[in-house]
Amino acid sequence: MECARCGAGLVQGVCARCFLSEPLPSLVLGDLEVGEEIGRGGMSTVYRARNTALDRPAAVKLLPESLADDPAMVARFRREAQLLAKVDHPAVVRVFGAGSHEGVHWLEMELVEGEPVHARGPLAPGEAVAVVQQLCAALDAAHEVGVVHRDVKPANVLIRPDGSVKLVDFGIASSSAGRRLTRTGNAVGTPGFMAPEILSGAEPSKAMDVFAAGALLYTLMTGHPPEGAFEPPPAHAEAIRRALAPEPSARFATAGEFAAALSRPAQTTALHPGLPPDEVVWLRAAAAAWTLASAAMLYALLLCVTPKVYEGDVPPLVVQGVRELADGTKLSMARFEVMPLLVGLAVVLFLAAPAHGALLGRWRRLSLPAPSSEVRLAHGPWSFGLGVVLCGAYLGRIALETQGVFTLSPYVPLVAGLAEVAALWWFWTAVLEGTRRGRALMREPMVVFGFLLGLIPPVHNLARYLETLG
Amino acid sequence: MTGARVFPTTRWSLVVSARGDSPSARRALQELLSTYWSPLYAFARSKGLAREDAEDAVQAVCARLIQAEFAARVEADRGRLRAYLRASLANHLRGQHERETRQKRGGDAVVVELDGALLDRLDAAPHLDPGDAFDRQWARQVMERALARLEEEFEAEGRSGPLGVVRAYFSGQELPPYGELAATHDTTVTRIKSLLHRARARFRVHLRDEIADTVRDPADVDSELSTLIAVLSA
Ligand SMILES: Nc1ncnc2c1ncn2[C@@H]1O[C@H](COP(=O)(O)OP(=O)(O)O)[C@@H](O)[C@H]1O
Ligand SMILES: [Mg+2]
Repeated sequence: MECARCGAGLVQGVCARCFLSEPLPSLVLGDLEVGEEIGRGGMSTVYRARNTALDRPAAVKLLPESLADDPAMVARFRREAQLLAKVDHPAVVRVFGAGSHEGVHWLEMELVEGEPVHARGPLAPGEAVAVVQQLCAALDAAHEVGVVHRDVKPANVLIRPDGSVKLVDFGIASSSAGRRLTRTGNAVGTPGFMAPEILSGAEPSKAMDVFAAGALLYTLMTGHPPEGAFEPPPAHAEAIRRALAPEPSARFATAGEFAAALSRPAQTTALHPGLPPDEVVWLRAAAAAWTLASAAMLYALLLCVTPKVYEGDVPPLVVQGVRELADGTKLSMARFEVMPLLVGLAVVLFLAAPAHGALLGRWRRLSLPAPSSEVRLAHGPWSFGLGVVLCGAYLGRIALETQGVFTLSPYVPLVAGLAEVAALWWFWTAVLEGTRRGRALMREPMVVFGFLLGLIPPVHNLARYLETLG
Repeated sequence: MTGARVFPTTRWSLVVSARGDSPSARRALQELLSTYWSPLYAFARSKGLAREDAEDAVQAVCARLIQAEFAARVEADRGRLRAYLRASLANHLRGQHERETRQKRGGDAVVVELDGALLDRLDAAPHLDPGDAFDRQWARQVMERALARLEEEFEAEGRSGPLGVVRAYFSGQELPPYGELAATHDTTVTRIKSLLHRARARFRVHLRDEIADTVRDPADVDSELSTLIAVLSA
C-alpha cells in the first residue's frame, strides 16, 4: 500500500512520511505558531512556540481536548495564568498571555531552555543545594503575594545549562485571596512531596511548600523521595529534617529560612543538632524538671546523713547514733527528715513525671523518625560554659580548703549544689536525647560524664561527714 | 530503600549498565532484538543468502548481542546500535566471526523468535541494496514501535476515538479540508488542527524515545532521526 499523496509506503495503515515530515508548526493559535512538544505533566502538555507578533520564542501550555468541555477545568486553567501573573520573580516562569479560540485553550509563557532537575540523575550536594535555594527564593516570592504552589516536585522545577532554576506549573496552586477552585480537603499533589497535613485536609499553607522543597532536596541528593523513617544525607541533615518535620509548626517558617539554613555550615556547637527547635524546647523542659526533682531527692538524702546538733530533745525521727556533747547538746549521725523527702517526691510526681509523659506522648503522637545517628551530641556553649564554671568553683573550693587557705561552713550547700545541678542537667538532657535517638544510654559519653560528675559532691560531703565522726 | 524511581533511565543505559545480567536488562535486550532482527534479515537476504542461512545469520548476530561484552563493543563503535549491528552482520557474513559465534552459541540455539509472516513479507519485498534494505526495515520497525506506543497511550487515556481521526487523516488518502472534518466530527476546525498537531508532536516524542534507547549519546538522536526521515522519504 502506498500513500496517494507522496507515494511512500504505509506503516500499519499510516503514511509515515506525511505523519512525520510535514513540518511542524501546523497549528496557529492567535499570534502563536505551536511547535514540538517539550514537556508533559499529569494534566497538560507544553509545546515550543513562536509569537509571530512579537517575534520571540514562547512556551505554550494547552488544555487537553478531553478537558476543554469541562467548565471547572477551563476555569482552573484560566486561574493558573492569573496566579502566575501575580508572581514576579526571576525563578518563576513568566506568563505572557492566555487565550482561547474555538474551544482550544492556551497559556503562553516564557520558554525555558532547560530540563526538569531530575533529568540528569542525582546532583552533587552543592548543586542540589543551589537548586533548592533558588527554588526557595521563588517560593518566597509566591508566598509573599499569597500564592501557595502545592506541587513542588522535580518535574516542575526546570534547570537551565547555566544552573539557573525556574519554577513552573501553578496548575493546582492556590491563593489566599479569591475563590478556591479546588475544594479544601482535596488532597492534591504528588506522594513523597506532599506534606502529611494535606491528607488530613489542612488549608493550603506555606509550610506545605517548605516540606516539598525539603523533599526535593532530599530526592536530588539521594535519588528517591523521603519515606518512612528516612535518613537525610549528613551534609544538611538538620535543615532537611526540619523542613520535613511532620508538624507544620516545626518546619522553617518561610522557604527563605530553609535556604538560609542551607548556606550555614553544619553547626557542631548547636544544642542538640538534628532535633527541630520546638522539640529541643520540650526536651529541655523535661530535662529541667528531672534535674530539679533529682536535685531535691539528693538534697533530702544528703540531709539524712548530715550530722546535726540538737539543743533539747532529739525528735523521734532521728534514727540512731545520737552522741552527747560536752555542752549537753546532742549530735545526730543519721536522721530522717520528712519535709525535704516529701518535697523531693512531690517534684518527681508532679513535675518531672508529667513532663516526661508529655514528652513521650509528643514523640509518639508525631511518630517522629529517629534522628540521624551521625549527628554528634553537643551542648550549647552557654549551658556547657556555666556548668564548667560551677564545677570549677566547686573543685577550687575543695582545693583551697585542703590547702587550709580558708574554710566555709562545711555544709554550705550552695557551691556544691550548683555544681551538682549542672551535672544533673547534663545527665538528664543526655538521657532524654539518647532515648529519643534510640541509643544505648550506657555508651553515651554525656550520660556517663554527668553521672560521675554528679557523684562528686555527695561523695565529698560523705567524706567530710566521716571525717567529722573520726 | 524501595523508593520510587524518579530519575529516568533509557533502555540503552539499562542494557549497558547491567551488562545484560538483570531481568530488566534482559527484557530491554529482548525488545531491542525484536526491533532489529528483521532489518538484519532483510540485509542478509539482500546479500543473496537463502532463507535458512539468513535466519541462521540473524540468530548468530543476535546471540553475539546477548553476550556480556556486547555493550563494550557497541560503546567502542560510537555507541550507535544500528550502525553496530549492520557492521556486525556484514562481518559475520564475511565469515570473520563464524567459528567464534558457533562455539559461543553452542549449536543453533534460537535467540530471538522470528515472525514467519514478516519473513514472508520481507522475502516478497523488491530487491534492494543490502544497506538500504536494512535501513528501510529498521525505519519501519522504529515507526511501528512508536505508533504502538502512541496507540497504547491514547487507549490508556480512553481516547481511541480521537486517534482514529488522526489515523484516518494520515492514511494516505487525499486530505479532506479541515472544515469538512470538523463538520463530520461535530467539532471546530481549531480543535481538529489541535488534535492532529498534538498527536503528531506526541508521536515525534515517542519516536525520539524509541531512538534514544539505541544510542549512547543523546546528541546522536537528531542525526538518527534525520536518517530515519530520509530513509522513509527515499
Ligand atoms: N515555560 C516552560 N518552558 C519549558 N518547558 C516547560 C515550561 N513549562 C512547562 N514545561 C515542561 O512541561 C512539563 C509539563 O508542564 P506542567 O506545567 O508541569 O504541566 P502539568 O500541570 O500537566 O504538570 C513540565 O514538567 C516541564 O518539563
Ligand atoms: Mg507538572
